[in-house]
Formats: sequence, structure tokens, C-alpha cells
Amino acid sequence: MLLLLFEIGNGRYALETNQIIEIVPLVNLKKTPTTPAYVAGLMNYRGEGIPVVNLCQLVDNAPIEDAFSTRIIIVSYPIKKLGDRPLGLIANNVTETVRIKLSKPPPTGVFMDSSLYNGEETQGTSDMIQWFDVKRMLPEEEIALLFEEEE
Amino acid sequence: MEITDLKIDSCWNRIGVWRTGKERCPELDNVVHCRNCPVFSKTGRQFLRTNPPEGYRNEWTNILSKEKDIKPINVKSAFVFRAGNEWLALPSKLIQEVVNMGPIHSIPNINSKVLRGLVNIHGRLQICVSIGRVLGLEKLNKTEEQLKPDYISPERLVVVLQKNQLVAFPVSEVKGTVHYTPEMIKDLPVTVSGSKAVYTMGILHLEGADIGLLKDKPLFKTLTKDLG
Repeated sequence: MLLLLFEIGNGRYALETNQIIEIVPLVNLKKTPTTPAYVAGLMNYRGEGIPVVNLCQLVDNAPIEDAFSTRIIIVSYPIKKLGDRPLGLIANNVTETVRIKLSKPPPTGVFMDSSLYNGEETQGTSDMIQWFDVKRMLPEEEIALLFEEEE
Repeated sequence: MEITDLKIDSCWNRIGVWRTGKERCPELDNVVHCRNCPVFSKTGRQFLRTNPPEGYRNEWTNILSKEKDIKPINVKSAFVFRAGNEWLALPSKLIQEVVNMGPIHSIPNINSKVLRGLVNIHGRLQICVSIGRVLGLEKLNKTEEQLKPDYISPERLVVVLQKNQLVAFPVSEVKGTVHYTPEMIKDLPVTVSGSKAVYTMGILHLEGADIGLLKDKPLFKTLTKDLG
């Protein structure tokens, strides 16, 4: 299983790459006034307006770093009735993928660094990496509304 | 973080992999080379945490708003040459080399339509065949220009490797290699018949010319069948 690693606030997360469409740099977003604060806006993705969620705001109320490694992860987000829709997720330090032997996430939803790396030095104090489950981590009903408004 | 705020101790430059004795970096016992070292990769990753330059975000906003420039997959390469008045192509991977035209020495007591004789390629005699005769192409009459003494002929000998055997054939002119995808191959016009149709896979319309893409396997089978 190939995982994408990224950071939100002080926490490190891993997202399974088979849900990812593309990873792109942070771009200018069109603000949407009536949506929750964690919705950063709409991005023009290849001519299509897609909603972008600021994970830093949603999960940790943390700021977005002004860095090359702050990027938009475009995932295929399954929504009831509508099917899979592209959704952008802003996260910090999106720089790395790692291949692990596990075929499904650990029951606790937390990896230890040592299970991902073979002896590579880790940054910071935390050596836990949390499984980022797109279904569980995002408020599905609110996200679904973003797409219904478009219809 | 500004890029100028980065404090980088480039130990891979300062110490490197070649120092010996006390100066040798102890990490090398584990990683062999600096490029495998976590210190090196960690420092590299620091650059990604610096502020992007002005205009970076606008540039990417612009790039992502446009259709993705998808490069065609399954691109094939063909070697294009002219035989008489026909532009033809063979898979590039068959072509070993292209050399200047030299004399073709006929072989006595061999009566073959396609076997022209032997040619000298870097001091070795190689078999020379005629693609034009197999396909039934007409030889063009020499123009006035071509009869002038200072005329430099574009004729070449093309050497291909077929079943571990080098085979040369003369061509009127070499265009070079072109790239195409299978979708670009058009069917032969129905009016084309005979051996031309048998040995041609389809037509490529490239750079203003209709190029006949040859079926290399049956073609060389015919070309070399008289060799025994």
C-alpha cells in the first residue's frame, strides 16, 4: 500500500494514494461566502470549479504554511447519490510517499514511524502517524452540500 | 521561512565520501554515500518549507485552469525514406545504420529479382536487396539537375538487422525518423493493390507527405528468401 504523508498543525497523517487524483501547488481560490470557515473556496481545476477544504482549519484550527510543500491534494470523494467527485484538500508539508507492507490500516488508525521507515530519522517529537480516512475525517453531509449547490 | 533563513551545513561538501582516517564521516559505514544519508535528504526537504517566490501561486493558478497537456502514450518511431517516388517507413529499431551509396557487386549465376548483389559496408561484404523491386515501384528518370556533374545524390544504403543477418538496400533519399501513434495510421486507399498492398500496413500522413508504413516481417521474408 502506498501512502502519502502530510502534516496538519503538529500532527502527521497518511492518506492512501489510490484515492488521490493529483497533487498540485496551492493556487488562488475563489472565496465562497456562505460556506463553513474550513472551506477555503473554489479552485479552477482544468476548467471545472471544485471545492477546496482547508484541512488545517478543519482539523486543528492551525494556519497554512506559506511554503512550497503546502499543497492541494485532489481526491476522488464519494458522495451518496452524486458518486465520486473531485475535492481539494489543503495540507502542510506534502512532500513524501511511503510504501508499506500492510494491506489495510491498523485497527487503531495510528502508525508508528518505525513501521513506515527503516531507521530514517524523524522530524519533531511526535513519531505517530495517523491514518487519514477521507470518509471519517470530513463532515460528509456538509461537503455534499458544496456539490449540490453547483448542480 | 525565507530561503535566506535556511542554515545549511553542507557536510556532503565539507566532508564528503572520500575523506579517510579521523576525517571520515562515521555515517558512511551505514549509508555508503551521502546521497543515501538522512542528513542530506532532510536538508533537501527544508527547501520545500521555504516561502515560494512572488508570482508562484498565480502561475500555478493559471496552469491548473487549463486542460492538462496529455502526452500521447504508445508512441512508435519509424524510419522514413524514399524509394523512387514513394515515401516509405520501417520500424526505427530495425535500422542499424545509413551509409553513403557505393557500388553494388552482382553475384554471378544468381538470378533473383530482389537480390541486387553484395555491397561493402565498413570492409565487410553484406547482402544488398531491392525494396523497390519487391513493391513494384518505378524508378524515376534522372532529371536535368541530377545529370549535372556537381550534383550530390541523396541516395543512401540503409543497413538493417533482420534475424541476426545484416541486409542493405539502396534508397533514393532518407528523411529521418518520425514518431507516430497507432491511431495515426490510415488505411490504404482501395485503389492500391498488388505487392504494394501486401507489404504495407497503412499510410501515415506526416510533414506533408503520405508515407507507406511497411510490414517489416513479410517484406524481409520475401527479400531474403532467395538467400537459402
